[in-house]
Amino acid sequence: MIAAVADAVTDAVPQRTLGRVQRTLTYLVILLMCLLTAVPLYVMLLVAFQPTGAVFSGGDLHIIPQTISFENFTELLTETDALTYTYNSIVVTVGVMVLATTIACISGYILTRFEFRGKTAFSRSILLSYMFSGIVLAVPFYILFQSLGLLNSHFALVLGLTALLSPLNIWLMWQYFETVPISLEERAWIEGASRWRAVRDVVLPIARPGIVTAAIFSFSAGWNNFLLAQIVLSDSEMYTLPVGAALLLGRDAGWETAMSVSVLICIPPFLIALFFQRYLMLGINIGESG
Amino acid sequence: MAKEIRTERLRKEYDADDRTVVANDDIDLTIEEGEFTTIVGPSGCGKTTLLRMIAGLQEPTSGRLYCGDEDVTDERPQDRDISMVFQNIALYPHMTVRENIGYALKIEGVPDEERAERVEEAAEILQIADQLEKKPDALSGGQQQRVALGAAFVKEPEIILFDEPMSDLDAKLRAELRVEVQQLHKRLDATIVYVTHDQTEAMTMSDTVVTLREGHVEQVAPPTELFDFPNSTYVAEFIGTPATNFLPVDLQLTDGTPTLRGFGMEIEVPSEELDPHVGETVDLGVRPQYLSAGGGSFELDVTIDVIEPLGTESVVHATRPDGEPIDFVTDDIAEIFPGDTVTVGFDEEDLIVFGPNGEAVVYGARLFDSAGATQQIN
Amino acid sequence: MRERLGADRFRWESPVLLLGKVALALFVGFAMLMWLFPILYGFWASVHENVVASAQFVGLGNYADVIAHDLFWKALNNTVVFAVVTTLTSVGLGLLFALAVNQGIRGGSLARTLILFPYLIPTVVIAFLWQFMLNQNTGVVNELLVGLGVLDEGIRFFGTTEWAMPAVIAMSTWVYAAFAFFILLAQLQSIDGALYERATVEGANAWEKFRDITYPHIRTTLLLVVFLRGIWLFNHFDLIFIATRGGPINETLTIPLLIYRLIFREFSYGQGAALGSLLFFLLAVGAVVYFKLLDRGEVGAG
Repeated sequence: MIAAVADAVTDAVPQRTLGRVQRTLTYLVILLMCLLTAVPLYVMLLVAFQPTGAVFSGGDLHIIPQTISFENFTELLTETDALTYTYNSIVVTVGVMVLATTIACISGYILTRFEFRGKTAFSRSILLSYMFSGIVLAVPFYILFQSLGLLNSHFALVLGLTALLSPLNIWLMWQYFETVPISLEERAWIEGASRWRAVRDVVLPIARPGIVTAAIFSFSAGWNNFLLAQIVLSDSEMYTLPVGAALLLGRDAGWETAMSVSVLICIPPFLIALFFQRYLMLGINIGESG
Repeated sequence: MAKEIRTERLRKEYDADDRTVVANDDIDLTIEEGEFTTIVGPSGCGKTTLLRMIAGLQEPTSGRLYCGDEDVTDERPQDRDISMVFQNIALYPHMTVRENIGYALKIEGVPDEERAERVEEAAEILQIADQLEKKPDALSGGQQQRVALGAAFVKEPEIILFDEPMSDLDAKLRAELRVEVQQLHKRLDATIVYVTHDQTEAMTMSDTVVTLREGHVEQVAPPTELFDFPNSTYVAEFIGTPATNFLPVDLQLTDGTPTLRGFGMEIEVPSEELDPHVGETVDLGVRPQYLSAGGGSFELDVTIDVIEPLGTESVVHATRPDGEPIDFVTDDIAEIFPGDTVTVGFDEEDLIVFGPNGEAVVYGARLFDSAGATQQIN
Repeated sequence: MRERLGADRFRWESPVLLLGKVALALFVGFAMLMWLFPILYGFWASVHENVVASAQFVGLGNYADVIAHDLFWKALNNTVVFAVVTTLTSVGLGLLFALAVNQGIRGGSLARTLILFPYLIPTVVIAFLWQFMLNQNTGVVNELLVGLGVLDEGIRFFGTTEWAMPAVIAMSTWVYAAFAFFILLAQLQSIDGALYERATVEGANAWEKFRDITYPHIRTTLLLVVFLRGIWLFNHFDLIFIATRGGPINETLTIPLLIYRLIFREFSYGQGAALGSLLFFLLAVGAVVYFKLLDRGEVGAG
């Protein structure tokens, strides 16, 4: 099969002529890569759409499902707090996306266009903060939020996540704004645009891929975070999806329930993976280039 | 309405690490209204800084800047009626050509219909009318340059500034755009200030050339004057290709007349201006265009190294008796070959005497003014 | 604060500068409170006892206690094993995949999209999924191994002392290979194809091309990825915590999990902070040494 595929794509290899052995190896590696990533995901989907209890009733798991059942999902939505968790997660995620992205844009622009004392120290401290264990930071956050009377609120979680996320996001936007030539802004000023209008009409549209990437990072932090949410939120009414899901699993829910919660949590990230791949790659690269 | 630009002791200092760099040193300069003025000089001479101060993108350390009668030193770039074409072209990558050209008009609040009309008219003139809906990325370098030109003149400003806009283009396109820019200047009622390090651009396009040297104005003159009457070795070397030849000669008195001696030549230069330099070594400058292989009143033998044919004429690189290079331009290379020793000569009205500090002291063309008017320009 | 345009100060831009200064002040305030405060508080707490109620200065006492803790050396050992092996496997696998996809053959872009998914899945889900995959009775992996005759009966991967760490590492590699993959792929794609053509003309084989063209081009990025991933894995908490809680018998207990235990089980924030600070110092020293060695390598190679 591999050979057949290989023959079919020979003309898709433009300049690089691959040896037969090398080509076969390449296909094997890519096949391995696809299998390794896809199989666990497939298993997750498979189990999630099995009737409740199917997994334990004697290894009835087939590679191609015999039945497809939405039982787990209806159970999840009607008998658990999954909807509340989802709502909470959306609130927190949107909050982090708005706050963290805004802060990243403003700070990134200032870092790009102005000189001030401590700029170097600031950029170095970004790396430093990266080396500090998140768990140790959780307690000061707890104390901080306690003294501010913000414990058990989504606002506190948004603040904390934004703080944890800001170094990376600011770095990203800083690097991105650096790629917008200052002469574009200067031209806009000379053409009569105010500073703000030049930013709105010229800088932000050009930096859009960077902004989208920062927003995706923020999304990821808001949607996926477990540790901080677990520490800041005490009331199960306030739980986000990951914390809620862990709670569900802790109650010895069946594998089907676990997998259907997983599928639920995975929908937004998967949509992002499908539609924003280009931005994500860009973000990963810029985030690393520092 | 074109406006005159005037600077009054305009000065710009930078802090570079622990020292202060003076980019512009108290520049007094008047750029006439409606003229095409080129500011030329090697990189680092402060020409771009001067232009950016005129634009309002940089603030002078001291001094004043006037547009017409108005003191604009403290005005923001937004409030100055100027346009600018940037070195890197600076087209907005996310806007179409139409939006790029029309952006200034949009900010000015020109109604959509009128804006479309003016943009299309500009595009027509620049022959990019069929590119209006494209993004800058999809255009060739020359087309992008035309869009930048269109964006600069569509709002009919008093002043248009050019910051080395053609430095990234190839020679053929540059030649084409030089003509385009000049035609635009004729069509527009605007003062044009054009910064470049390319003396060809300066010589071919401008009414007036301002030569800058390390933050100072070295000479302000029309191109022909700059070519024939450079006021220093710096200008003589920078303006015109190939660069002026300098022959170090001794200045002595012969029967009371200052005389240049060297390379087997003896040239009497009856000028009082030379009196202070008698007994010193001075530079005798002769443009390669005025050195001829056929000989002249004064002659020296040179050895041919390389011949560069440029079509109707050729540049000949040679070595003079003291081992230094010397260039001359000739239209007849049939008889000369690398390795040959030939006699080149010039006449007294072609020489310029530069003092020990590089300043021009005597122009042969003025002193012996019989043939001064027939000179040609490269 | 100054405008960066040729380092000028603009008189007439002062309202904008003022706005900038206000924004900067707000930001610095936020950063100090939300970002610097926790770190400084962590350091402060590491030299105090009974931190939350009535703090008492104990000097390096917490540090001594932590090092003397029964589990300290085991946790340190586990952390090093986990971080180093996972870094190597995930970066190695990422590099292998990137090299394959960079050949530009069909299927590559599908693989590229697929590998992004593990990276984006929330930690909780990864832990669920792998617990299921590696389950003794229902797990796909065991079923496969038994079916192929490799094993007689399934292994409780997360539940046996010898298999727990490899299982955790496998799970982490599955997630983090994508990170190295994307960065290295971008770097590979930036290599001028003409270089390979020239090498082909000059008769280089695949290995020589990799050694002489590919590797020098991606070296800096590769080392940076190793560094950042390594540091990050040393501090990694969520995945192991949810999957194994450090078990069985502390076999997957890493320093961050020990910190968690100190703080939330033994209620000694001082000791937890001391351990966190210790890890921070170790990493900082490690970072300096790493970059020093890199510099030397650079000079030696150059």
